[in-house]
Amino acid sequence: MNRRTKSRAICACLGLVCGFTGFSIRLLHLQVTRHDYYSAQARSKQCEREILVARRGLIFDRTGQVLASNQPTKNLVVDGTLLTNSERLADLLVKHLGLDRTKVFQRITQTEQGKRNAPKPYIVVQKNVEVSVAEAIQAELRPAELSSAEIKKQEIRGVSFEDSARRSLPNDSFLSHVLGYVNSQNKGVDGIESGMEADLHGTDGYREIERTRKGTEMVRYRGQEVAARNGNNVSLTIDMGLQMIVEQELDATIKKYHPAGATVIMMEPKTGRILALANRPDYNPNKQKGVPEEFRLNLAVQAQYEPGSTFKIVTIAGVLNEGIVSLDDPVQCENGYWQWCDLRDHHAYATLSVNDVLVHSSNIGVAKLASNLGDDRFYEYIHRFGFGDQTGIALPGEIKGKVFPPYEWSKISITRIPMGHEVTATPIQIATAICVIANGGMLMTPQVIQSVADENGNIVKSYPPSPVRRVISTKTADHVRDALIEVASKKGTAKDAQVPGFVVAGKTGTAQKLVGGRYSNEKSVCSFVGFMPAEDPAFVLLVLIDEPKAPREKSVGGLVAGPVFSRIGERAAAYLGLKPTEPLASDAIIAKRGKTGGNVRTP
Amino acid sequence: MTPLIRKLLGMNWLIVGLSIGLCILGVAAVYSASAFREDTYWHKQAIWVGVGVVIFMVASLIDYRWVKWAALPMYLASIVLVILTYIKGEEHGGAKCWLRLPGIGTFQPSQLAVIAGILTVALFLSQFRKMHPFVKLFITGCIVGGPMLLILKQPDVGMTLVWVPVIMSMLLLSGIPKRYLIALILIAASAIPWVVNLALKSYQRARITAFIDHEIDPTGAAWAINQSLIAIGSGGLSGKGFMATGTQVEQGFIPGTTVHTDYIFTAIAEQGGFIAGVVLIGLFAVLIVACLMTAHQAADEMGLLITVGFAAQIFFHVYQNIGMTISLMPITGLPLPLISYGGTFLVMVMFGLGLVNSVWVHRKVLPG
Repeated sequence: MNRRTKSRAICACLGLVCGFTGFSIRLLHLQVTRHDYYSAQARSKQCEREILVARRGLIFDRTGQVLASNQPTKNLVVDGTLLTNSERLADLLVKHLGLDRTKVFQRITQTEQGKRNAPKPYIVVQKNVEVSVAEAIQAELRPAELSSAEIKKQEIRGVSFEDSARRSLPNDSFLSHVLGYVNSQNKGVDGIESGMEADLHGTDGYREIERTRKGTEMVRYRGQEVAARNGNNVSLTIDMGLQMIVEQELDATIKKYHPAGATVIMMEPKTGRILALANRPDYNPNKQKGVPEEFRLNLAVQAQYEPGSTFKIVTIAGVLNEGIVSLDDPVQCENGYWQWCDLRDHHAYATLSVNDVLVHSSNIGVAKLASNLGDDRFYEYIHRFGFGDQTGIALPGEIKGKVFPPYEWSKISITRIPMGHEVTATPIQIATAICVIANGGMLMTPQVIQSVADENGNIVKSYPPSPVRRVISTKTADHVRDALIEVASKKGTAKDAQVPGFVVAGKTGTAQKLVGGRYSNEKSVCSFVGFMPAEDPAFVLLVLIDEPKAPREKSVGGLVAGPVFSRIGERAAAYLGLKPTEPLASDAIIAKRGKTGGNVRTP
Repeated sequence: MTPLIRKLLGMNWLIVGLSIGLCILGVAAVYSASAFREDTYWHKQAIWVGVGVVIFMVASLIDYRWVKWAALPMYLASIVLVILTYIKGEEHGGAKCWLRLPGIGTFQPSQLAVIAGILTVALFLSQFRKMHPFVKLFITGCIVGGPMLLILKQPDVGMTLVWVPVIMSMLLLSGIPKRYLIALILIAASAIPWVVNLALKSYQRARITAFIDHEIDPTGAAWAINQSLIAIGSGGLSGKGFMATGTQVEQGFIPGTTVHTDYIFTAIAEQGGFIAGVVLIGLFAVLIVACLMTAHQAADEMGLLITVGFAAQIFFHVYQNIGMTISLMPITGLPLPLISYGGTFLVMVMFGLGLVNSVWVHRKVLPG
């Protein structure tokens, strides 16, 4: 080997050494300096925390009928780092889900913020896809009819379907205001769904899993797993049988009067349990789109009305309980017009007994009784009946209503408040107040939840009846009840509320609505609240119709709300299997016939 | 002592040891990279290693000077075989460069062509030493240009590029004046923009783009390279351990079709870490230096050129293959000599190393 060749050989060797040294430095850089970075990358490629979604608790009525359940669905998720054939995927999604092509393509190809070339690894493209649709999409990700080479080219990778569930209410709009609805995160935002969110939601679990390149889980490397705790089931006090009756009768009433709003509450007076509750307008929680916000209002707890004459019960109960008067004591009724305070009665009376003041719903009579009671004691009774305070029902958004304290009263307030003006109350407050009369003097907390049980049916929490306070003595309550029976009798203002075969006790209410600061002649709130059977009430029923479209003289509680009470009461009594205590009209006729028949036989 | 035993004892034991050692390492690496699959690649590789060792021994014992008679027929035969790939070739990864040999498996004629080319060029350069350098360059160009173009059209850029360092190093050591070589390099360099823009296929350009910026197409062309970097980087200083569970390689992040062939270094560096990687590179360096030492000791120019050619071929393969896995070189499908799975290439390399060994055995110091 000559000299020149030798120097060239040395050159070649140097090149070799330099090249391989470069490799070593590169390896050192990769494996030692950047080791942590690449280890993290490797882990993130492999490990994933899969959320085990807790099943949302079910809602039952008191008979065990399902009111809210979960329908299994799939969430369509795209891993942008694995996604192939995004154009074809976009086409598929347009075809199956009817999404906008441009928008969905942007969505599945979006990148991390500020990084043009870093696709997002977790993109939820569509939530709550029907299982059948999800299966159809899945089947088309890998077109089976093509050859294996073509499949490789055409296959859409990086798409996965996560188990999910959509809340489903089998009864659609029935009971919608009580049940409420859930948002897209399956979190309750109204009604029981919101009020019992902590119980219903449960706790999501998770599972550490490792995935291979193709995203299939490697079961043998399954790591830590924390099981999901499914949500608890909630049983309501609602009875779907009664609810159905209420909803149907309410619909019939709506058809007849086209009111601005309406509420019916059926309550068990001894326990305070709500048996049925319905409002109009209502909505279908399964189809939320385009529902006006005011349709979602649960009028029973979120609307306040001047209660009108039903409020007279408070005054009468107060004076009787204080022993100031007895039912038979006379009250001077000023012949229909009390000049001092510009107060009129519908019919002119010279004097009425305390009992008749209620039966004939005399404004002047009740104002005088309230004056006897005095501002402070009257105000105390209003409070003791639960007005001006939340009842504590487990439905969200309950309002208090307005009851002004005596120091804010005007001189004539004491004559106006007793007839249910200058004061507002929610329907649930009115119903609860009547329960006091019906159950012998106790104010009960209205309850919609009976019990909470875990997924295996073990009772976690139960809700026994919870009395708030004794409002009036049992004796007083009985007296008032007797008066209320008369109200609903033939001679009272609520004869249309009678239920054949039963003794009904109740009180009508008609309150003109304040329009621009003046009591309107056209717009009124008609209500009837009563209970039956009067001797041993199975339920209190409040019917409140806001702004019925009817001639003025017919827009009164007795005529609008009374018949609704009667129809619901009749059907409810049959449903509950109540034993009639009074001879039915037909029985009376038959009895009469029997007598005449006897006469016929003896000529 | 009979000449045979003398020859046996006079072998370059460094080359023998390294060749066989690397082969065994290769079997272990193939095993570790594919044992979790259904195919038993390592088993076939072990058989090929046996065949390779026999061919190595036979080539070592034959006087390399006899080879000159075989050079031209081999060269012509390899060209015929390369042309045959156009007609009956099997496609692997987009390139039609494989021939199926009944009973043996697939075989890449371009690998044979390189070895035949080395022998032919070595023969030519050593026979016509007094020829004008320009004419020598021209004829060498003719000898290698044909097969190179044929291989390029297959298309197999990697196997085409192998020719460049091989022929350049042979020209360098055959005494062509530097100015000619520098001019050649300049011409080649000036052609690069034209080649990149006009001659490259779209996937080839994508590979080069991906090599320059990994973030441009992380799911496509840069997928493999990113995964390779993650696997190697996560291996760390001492690696995750031989056959460790849960490695990137095992989980299929490196494409299953290449992990035991082109990306075998990734598997080694992930499991064995920096230490194994550097040891492997070191072993190749020692092997190449041993070849160059043999070249230094060669009895004649033919022996020198053959040895240098093979050394350059091995160097380029190692450089390109490992460089690709650690993102120092663009992606081309060149196997890692003696390590990557692939029977025919292993046998070719063992044959080449046997010839180098033969040059050593028949060096000057050997009397007779």
